[in-house]
Amino acid sequence: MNATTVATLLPLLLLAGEDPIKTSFAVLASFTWEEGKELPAEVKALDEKIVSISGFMQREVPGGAPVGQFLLINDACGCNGTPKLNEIVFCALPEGVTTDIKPGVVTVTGKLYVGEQKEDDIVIALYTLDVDEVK
Amino acid sequence: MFRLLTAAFAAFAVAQDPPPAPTDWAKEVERACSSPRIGLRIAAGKKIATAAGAAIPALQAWSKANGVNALPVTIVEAFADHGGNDAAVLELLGGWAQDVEFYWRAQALRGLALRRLPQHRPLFARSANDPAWLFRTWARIGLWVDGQTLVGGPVLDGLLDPDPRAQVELAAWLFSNGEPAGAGILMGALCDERTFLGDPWGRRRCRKALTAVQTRITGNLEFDPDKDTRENVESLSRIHSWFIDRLQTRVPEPLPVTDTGRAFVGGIEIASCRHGDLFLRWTADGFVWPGLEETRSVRLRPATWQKLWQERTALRLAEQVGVVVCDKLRLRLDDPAVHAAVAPAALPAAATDWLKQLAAAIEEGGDRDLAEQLRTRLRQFAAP
Repeated sequence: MNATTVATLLPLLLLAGEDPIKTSFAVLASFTWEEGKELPAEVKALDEKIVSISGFMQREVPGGAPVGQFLLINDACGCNGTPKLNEIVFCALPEGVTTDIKPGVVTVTGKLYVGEQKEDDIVIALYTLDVDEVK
Repeated sequence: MFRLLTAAFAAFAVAQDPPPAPTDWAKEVERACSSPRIGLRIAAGKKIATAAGAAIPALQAWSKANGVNALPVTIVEAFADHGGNDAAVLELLGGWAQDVEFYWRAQALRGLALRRLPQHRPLFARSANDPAWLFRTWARIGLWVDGQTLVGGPVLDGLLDPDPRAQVELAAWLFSNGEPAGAGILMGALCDERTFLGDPWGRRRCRKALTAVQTRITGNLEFDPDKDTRENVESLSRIHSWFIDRLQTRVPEPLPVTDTGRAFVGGIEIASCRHGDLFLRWTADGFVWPGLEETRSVRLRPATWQKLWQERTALRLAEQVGVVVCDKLRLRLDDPAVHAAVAPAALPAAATDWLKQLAAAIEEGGDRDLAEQLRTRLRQFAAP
């Protein structure tokens, strides 16, 4: 095993040993979000941490095929309307990996990124998560 | 002199900003309806709704070409929240709200209810008992007059709605707007830990109640909705005291509201904005329990149930059947292990037949109304 390989694997091994922080929408959605407003400290503290969070999987656009990305939201019933941006975790699976949208509550584990992400100068996400596992 | 004036005019013309290009509303509507990013859909929807009359023809053209149910909920919410009172906007919201096939009719009615215009009161009055719980809740909210004492009538009746989700939605809205009539419902909801086939619907009632309570009780309540009633007992006790001391109103003691522990082996949840939701669970010994709450059951004839039980593999479905947008049938079974979400007009024939037989068995068991409710919804979900 050469140095380059070790250097590449070490962070992954460290990550694999890190216990996920259990969080929830009660924390992520505990405040009224407005664009540009500073996020609460307890939310910012989760940035770049491995977390596990439970919720309902939803597609970002309607469809039937397996997905590489999905929304994790707090409410199974879309009838209640669109969740606020701080009530959505935008989940991305590793490149080339897809999953079906599962009915019922799932627990997603992975690295959470906290902060406004913009496209065309519009905030499109507050929470994104690189998914390691969906259970 | 002429040259001087020409030069001055030219300089003036250059200094002026060119007139803004007219907005391409068709493009904005496409973005609001089809952008793969929900954030972009929300932003474009708000822009369209704010422009109101100018953008509505493009929206209607898109809706005609793609079908009204292809409209995302975000655009309906945008008109509800930002559309103003332009006649064209009110007509649009009214049309959506009265289209029983439209998935987002409750959001459209919400838009009208929030505007509190007298011309919509007849619509609210005839919608106060709609089969869809969120729709009838917004109708009742539309009928409420600020500062009105609730003595009878459809608003007060709404607090006794058979669907506990409707009760808390209405109670939370009233409480946030200064009317304490539903305080007892909120207190109970804060302690609600009930589930339906794994779905923690009681916790959603809890969060709804908590948000409402926080509009009136200032300071940190130290209530954690991720924790159960026993772990929140001190906070609940303070909220309970506040209700009694400040509102002079009777509210139930903060005691946990939990599942009964009955051993369900399967069930279905049908979410239908068209017909209203239907919840059914069954036990291995042939009792069917309708509703989110376990308040009553129907005993199926043993021989009929035995036959159904033996044929339950007809319910073996993939996790997702069809394209679910809003209305869906969720089916859960322990053995064989099945957990599926089915879109309208997508339920395979074998599963449809099994559920039709279940409806017949329920009727045979003495509940014709429940059987008919199931049959009505199966007509929406059965594959053609």
